[in-house]
Amino acid sequence: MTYTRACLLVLCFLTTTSILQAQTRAGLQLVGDAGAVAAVTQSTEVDIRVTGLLARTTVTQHFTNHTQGWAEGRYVFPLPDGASVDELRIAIGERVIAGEVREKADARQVFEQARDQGRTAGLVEQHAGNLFSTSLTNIAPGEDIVVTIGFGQTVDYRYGRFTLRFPTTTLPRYENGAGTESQTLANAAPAPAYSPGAAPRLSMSVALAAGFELAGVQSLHHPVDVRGRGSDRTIELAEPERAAGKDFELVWSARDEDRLQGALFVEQLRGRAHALLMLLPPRDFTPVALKRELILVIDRSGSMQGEAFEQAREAVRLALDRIDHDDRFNVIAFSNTALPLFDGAVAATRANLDRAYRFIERLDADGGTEIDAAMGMAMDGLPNVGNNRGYLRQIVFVTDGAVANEPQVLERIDREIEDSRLFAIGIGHGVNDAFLNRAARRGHGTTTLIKDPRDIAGRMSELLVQLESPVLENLQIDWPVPADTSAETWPERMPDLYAGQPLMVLARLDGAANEINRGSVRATGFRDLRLVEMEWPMRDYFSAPGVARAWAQARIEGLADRPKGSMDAQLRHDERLLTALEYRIVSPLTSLVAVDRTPRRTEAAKLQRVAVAGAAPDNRHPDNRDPAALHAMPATDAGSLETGLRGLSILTIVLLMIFNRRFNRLERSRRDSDAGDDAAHPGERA
Amino acid sequence: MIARLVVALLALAAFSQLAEFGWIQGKGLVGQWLMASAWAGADEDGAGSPWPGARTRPAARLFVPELKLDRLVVEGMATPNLAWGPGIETGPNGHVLIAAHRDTHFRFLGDLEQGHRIQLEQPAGVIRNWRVQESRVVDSRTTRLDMNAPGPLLTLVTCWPIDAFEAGGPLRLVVSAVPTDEETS
Repeated sequence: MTYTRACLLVLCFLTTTSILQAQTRAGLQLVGDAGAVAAVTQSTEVDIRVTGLLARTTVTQHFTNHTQGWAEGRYVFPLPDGASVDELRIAIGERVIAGEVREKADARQVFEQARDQGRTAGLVEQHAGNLFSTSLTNIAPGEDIVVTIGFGQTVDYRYGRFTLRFPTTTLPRYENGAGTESQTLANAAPAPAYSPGAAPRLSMSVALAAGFELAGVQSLHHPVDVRGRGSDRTIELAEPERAAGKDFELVWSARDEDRLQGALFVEQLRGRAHALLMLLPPRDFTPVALKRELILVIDRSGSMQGEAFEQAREAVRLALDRIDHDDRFNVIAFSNTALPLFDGAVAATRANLDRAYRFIERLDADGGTEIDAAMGMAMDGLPNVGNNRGYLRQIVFVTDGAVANEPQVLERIDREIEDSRLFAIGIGHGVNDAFLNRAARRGHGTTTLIKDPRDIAGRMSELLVQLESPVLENLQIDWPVPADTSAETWPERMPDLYAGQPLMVLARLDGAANEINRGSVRATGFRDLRLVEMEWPMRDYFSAPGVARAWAQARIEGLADRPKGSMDAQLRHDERLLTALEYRIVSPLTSLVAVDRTPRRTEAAKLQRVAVAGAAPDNRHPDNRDPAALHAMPATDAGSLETGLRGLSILTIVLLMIFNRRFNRLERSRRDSDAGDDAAHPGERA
Repeated sequence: MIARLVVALLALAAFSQLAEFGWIQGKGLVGQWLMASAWAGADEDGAGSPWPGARTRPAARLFVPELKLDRLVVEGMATPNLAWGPGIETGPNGHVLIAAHRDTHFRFLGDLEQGHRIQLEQPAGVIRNWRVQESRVVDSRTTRLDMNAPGPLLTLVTCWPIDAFEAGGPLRLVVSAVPTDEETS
C-alpha cells in the first residue's frame, strides 16, 4: 500500500506542469528593430463641459518631435460613439491655423500636397467604429505642436444614471482575409500603436452642469477630485500620469429621480429648429411571464485574454443563473470558429444547465475574432433547432467587438435577425462600442458596457431585467409642426424601449423655434397591447448648442444603418456627404484638414514618418498590447517531451508495482509453504 | 483488487501519454516525408498540396550544412501547421521568420553557432545563403517580433530550454541570420 501512495505522490508531481509566473509589465522589446526610440510623442488634455444631456469636449494633443530631423506623426485614438468632430485648430508657437471640413479624399490630397510643399498641416479622419486619427506633418526638429479637436456628444441615461464616457484606449482589431475584402481601403481601421514604455499622459477635467440637484457624482475607474455643490460640479483626474489605459466613465444621478420626466433641448441653425427630446416612460411595469429562448454567445478570442475573459465568463454565468425552467437556451463560444454547446436550443433542465456551467468553466481565450460565423449560428439557429414558436428569442452577445469586418457582420444581422433580439455586452476597456451599438440597434436590442469586475453583477442584473420585462413597442412621435411642414426624426424607426430606458430622439423641424413652441411633442407606444402615451410641452425647452450637429451625426449614422437595398447606394452616399459638409462635421466620408500658409521645410530636409503611440488597454493580457506589425512569439512547443517523459515515468511506476506484487506474492507463497511445512510436521520440533 | 485497478489505470495513463508522444513525433516525421514529393513537384507558383485536404503546403527548404540538416518549411505559423514542419512568414520589408517546435524540427537550434551557414531554398529552386549572426534567449512575455523590420533578415525561433521537461514555458531561443551573398540557383 505504501507503494501506491508513493506512486500517487509522484503522479501528482508529474502532472503539475506549469508554474504561474508573475506577469511583467515592462516595456516591449522588438526583435529586428534598429533600437529606435519614440520619435514623436503625444500627450492629451481633455476638457469636457456637460449641460444637461449634451457634452462639449475639447481634446488638446501635444505632439513633440524628439528627433534632429523633420517628422510626420500619425496618432490613432478612439472617441466616444456618436461624437461629431467639428473643430480642428493647430497651434505652432504663436500662430493658430483653423481646419475646414472637406470630402475625405480631398482633405487627404490637401494634406499630402502641404506635406510635399514643406508646410505644416494637420488632418483628422474618422475610421471604422470609434477610431479617429490625427496626422501632423512637417513638425520641425525639437518642436512642440498643439492640436485641438472639438466635438459634441450626448450623455447616456438609463436606470436613473447619467453616464459620460471617454475612451482612452483601443484594442487592435482582429482582421481576417475574408473580412478585409468587404471594406473599402479608406474605411479600413488603422492599427493603434502602443508605446513601449509608460502610457502617454492624459489629463482631464469635466465641468458638469446637470440642471437638477445632484445626488452623487462618481468616476468609475479613475481617482478624481470633485468640487462644487447643488447642480454643478468640477471633476478633475487625480493621477494624470496613470489615467490612460482605462476608459473614463463619470456617473451622476438626480437627488429626486421621480420628478425627472423628460427634457427638451433646442438649437436654432439656419432658420430651423433642431431638437433633442428625452422622455421617460411611466414606471408601471408588471413582469409578464414570457417563455424565452436565450442564446448566449461568448467571445473567447485572443483579444479577450486575461481579466476580460473572466468577466465575460462571469456575465454568462449570471445569465445562466436567471434562466427559468420553462425557457430554452444554448451557449455558443467563438474564436476562429464557432463552438456551440448543444446542436440547438434545449430545455433548461438542471442537467443541461450544469453542462453549460462546465462548458463555460473549461473555455479559454485564444485565436481570432470570427464574429460573423457565431452571429450567423445564433440568429439562424443550428441544424437541429426545434420549433421555437411561442418563444421569444433573445441573443446575448458577450464580446469586445475587436473585429475588422464590421460591415459584413452588420449586413448579416439585417438579413437574418427576423424576430430575434440582439443584446450586446461589451467587456473591458478599449471596447469598440460604436460597433456594438450599431449591432444592437439593428438587432432591436440594447448595449451594456461592463468595464470593471465590480460592475458585472449590477449591469448584468439590469440587462436580465430588460430581458424579462415587457417592452414599449411601435413607438410613434408626433411633433407639433404646422400642417404643410414636416419634422425629420432620427432614429427613423424608434427602437423598442426596455425597462429603465428613456426615449431619446433627435429631430429637425421646418421652422424656427419661436414659431413652433405651441403644442406638445407626443409619443405613443404599446406595452402588452395597451396604449402608453407620453407628452412634453414644446415651450418647456432649453437652448443648447450642439443639438444640430448631434442631429446631423444621427442622420449620417442612420442613413448608413438603413438595410442594404432599401436605398440607392449613390443617393445614400450623397445624402450622408452633404449632411456632413453642411453641418461641418467629421464623418466616415469627410475629414478636417488645416494647412499652414508658409512653407517651413526646405526640399533638402528629409521627412520621416512615424506612428505615434497611445495607451494599451489596461485589462488585457500583455500579449495583446502590440500593434499589428508586431508578432507575438509563436508557440514552439509541441509538448511531446513532457508527455513522453511523463509516460515513461508512469510506466516505470507500473512496472515497479507489478514487480512489487510479484515479489510479495512469491514471498508470501514461500512463507505459506514454510508455514505449511511446519503444520505438516508438528511433531518434529517437539 | 484496488491495487490491480490502480496498476491498470496507471498503465493506461502511461500508454496514452506515450501514444501522444509518438503521435507528435510521428506527425513531424511523416509530415516531412509526405511533403517531400509535393516539394519535388514545386514550380514558380509554389508546391502543390502534400496530401488530400491538407491545410498547408511546403513553402521553402531549410539546410544547415554544418549540422547536416534538411527541413521542409510550411506556410503559416498556426499551431496545427507547425506539427508538420517549421512555419515560415515573411514581413513586408523582407524579414523572414521561421519557427518550429523545440521537440521536433528545431531540436538542433541550440547547436547553431555564430558563423554557421543557413541555406533557404525557394520553390523555384532559388537558394539564398545566410550566416548566423547571433543567438539569444528572450522572454516571450516582453518580446515581440517586428514583422516590419527592414530586411533581408532571417529569424529562427523555438522554445527554450530545448530539453525542458515542462511544456509551454515563456522563454524563446531567437537566432538571427543575415544574407551572405546574392541569390544562387
